[in-house]
Amino acid sequence: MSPASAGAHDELRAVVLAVRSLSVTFRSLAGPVEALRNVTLHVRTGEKIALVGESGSGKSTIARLVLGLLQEERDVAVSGSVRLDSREILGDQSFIREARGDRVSMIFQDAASALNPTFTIGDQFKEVLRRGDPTISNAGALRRARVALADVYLHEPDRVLGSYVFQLSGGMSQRVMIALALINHPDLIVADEPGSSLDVTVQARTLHLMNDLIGRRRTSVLFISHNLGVVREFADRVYVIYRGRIVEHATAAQLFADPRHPYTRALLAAIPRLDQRGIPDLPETIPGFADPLIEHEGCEEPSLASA
Amino acid sequence: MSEAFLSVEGVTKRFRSAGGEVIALEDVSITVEHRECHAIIGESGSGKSTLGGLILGLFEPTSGSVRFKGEILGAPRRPLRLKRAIQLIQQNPLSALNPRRTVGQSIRLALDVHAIGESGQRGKRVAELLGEVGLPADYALRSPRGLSGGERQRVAIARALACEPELIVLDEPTSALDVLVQARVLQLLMRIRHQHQLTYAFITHDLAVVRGIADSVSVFEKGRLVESGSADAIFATPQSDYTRRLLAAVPVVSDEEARFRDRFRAAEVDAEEAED
Repeated sequence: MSPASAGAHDELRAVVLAVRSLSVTFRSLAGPVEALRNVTLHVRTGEKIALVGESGSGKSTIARLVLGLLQEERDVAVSGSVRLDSREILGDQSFIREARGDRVSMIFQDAASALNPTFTIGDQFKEVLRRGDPTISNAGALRRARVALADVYLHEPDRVLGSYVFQLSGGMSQRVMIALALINHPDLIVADEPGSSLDVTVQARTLHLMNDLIGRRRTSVLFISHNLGVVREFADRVYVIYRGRIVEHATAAQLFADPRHPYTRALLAAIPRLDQRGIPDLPETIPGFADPLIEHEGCEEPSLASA
Repeated sequence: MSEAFLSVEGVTKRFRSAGGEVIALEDVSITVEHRECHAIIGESGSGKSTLGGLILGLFEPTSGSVRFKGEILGAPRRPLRLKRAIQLIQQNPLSALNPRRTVGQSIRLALDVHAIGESGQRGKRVAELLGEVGLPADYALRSPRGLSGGERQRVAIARALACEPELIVLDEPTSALDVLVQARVLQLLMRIRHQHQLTYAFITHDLAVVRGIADSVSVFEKGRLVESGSADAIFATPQSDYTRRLLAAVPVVSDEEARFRDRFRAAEVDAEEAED
C-alpha cells in the first residue's frame, strides 16, 4: 500500500500520515475545552517524526485520533482530516479498526500496563500475527515470534513466550512491545513516550534498539514525547505543540541549533543540562498566548487580594 | 571535635521478603555538611530511597548508624524535635497531602503539632508560608485535589517550611513534573534553601538536575555506594564505570552538552561489552 520510494528527496516519498487542519473540542460541564486547533502535520515513508509538548498540550489527543482510539461522540467535536495511507479515518472508523495492529501499531510508555496481563506473551503474538494473516498456524506464529524476540535481543524466546507480563522486567516488557509493534511490518508506528518509565540506562538501550530496528525496516514513526533530549537523538523532523497548536516545525538539527518560537526556546531553556550549573529563569508569557507560560502554577509575587 | 551535620556510618539495611533477604544498602558511609545540597543518585533498586527512609526514621538500620549533628537517629519513638528538624518532600505530593483537608488545614496542622508560634497567629502564618512558595493566600481554602502538580509540590514545600526544618529529604521532588514547572520548582527550592540556610538530601535519578543544583553527590548502585564527592569533581572526572555509564546515557539537547556527555561514551561501550 505504501510504495517504498527510492527518491533521495523527502518530497518524493509517499505520505503515510497526513493530518490537515485538525481541530478537536471536548465538551465538559465547565464548557467547551479546545484540545487542538488547526493542527497540520505529515509523516512520510521511513520518516521519524516527533511531536513534542507538555502535559495537556494535546499531543496524546492526536495519537488517539490517529489510532482510532478517540471515539467521535457527542462530547467531542472534531473537524479537519486525518489520512492514513490516503484513506480518511475521521468519520469512518472501520478502516482504522482493521488497520490497527497491522498497518498501524503502537508503543506505549508503560509496557507492563499496555500488554494484556491475562494472556501469555506467546498468545499475544499469535493474536497480533492473526491480524496480519488470519490463516497463520500456531506453530507458524510462534516461529515468527521467536525471530522477532531475537531481533530485540531477548535470548530465551521460549521462556518469554510462556511468560505473563508480570514475570518480565520493565526493560524486557518494553522489548516485547517493540517486537509486537514491528512484527506485522506496519506502515506507521505511533510511539507515545516509549521508555520514559524506565531507568536511564535501560531507556537509552531500548531507544537505540528501537531506532535501529525501525531504521532498518524504514518504518515511519510518529513519536510523541515530552523529552526533548530523547527527541534530539531520535527524530528527523519535529513539531512542537503548545496548548493545542503547532507553534514550530523544523528538522531536528534546525530546531535544536536555532529554535525560533519563544515557546520552544523556553522549553529548551528549562531543561537541566549536564554541562551547566544553576536553573535558568523562564519568561512569564509567550507572545500570542494570553495566559501565563505556566498556568495554575503560582507566581513569585502573588497577589493576596485575588479571589 | 567538630562533627558532621549528617553522617551515615557503615550502614547496612536488609529487608526480609517472600524470596528471602534483600540487601537494600551495604556498608554505606557518607557525610553531608550544613547548608549543602547533597544529591543521592541511582537507578531503581540502588538503595537511594532506603537511605532517605533511614534519615527520616521510617526504619532502623540493620547495622551501622545515622547521626544528625552527632545524635544517633533511631527509628522508633524518634523525638518530635527531630521529626520537626528533618522534613520530607516526595515525588507525589498528592499522596503526602490529606485530600480531606484543605491546603490551609494541612499546613496549619504542622504548626499545631509542633506548637510553632501562638495559636492565634497561625492562620496568618499559613498565608505567609503560601506567599513564600508563590501561591495566593486564598489557596488555603482549596483542596489539594484541585491543584496542578506544581502547585501541590509548592504546598508540600510550604508545609515542610512551616516546621522550620534544618534538613529536608527530597525524594524525586520534580520527577513527575513537566520541565517548565520543574524549572520553577527547582528555583523555588534553591531560593528557600538559601533564605532558610537549609541542608538538602536530594534523591534523584536525573543527573542533569543534579548538575544544576547539587554541591556534593553520592552515587549508588544495587545498594552500594560507588562514588561520593563534590559535584564539580564527579561531573569532571567520575571515578567509577557506573557513574560514567549513567552520564553516558543522559539524553542531551545541545551539541555542547553532547560533547560533554560523549566523553563518557567510550567507557560505556567497554563496560557493556565486558558485562555481556
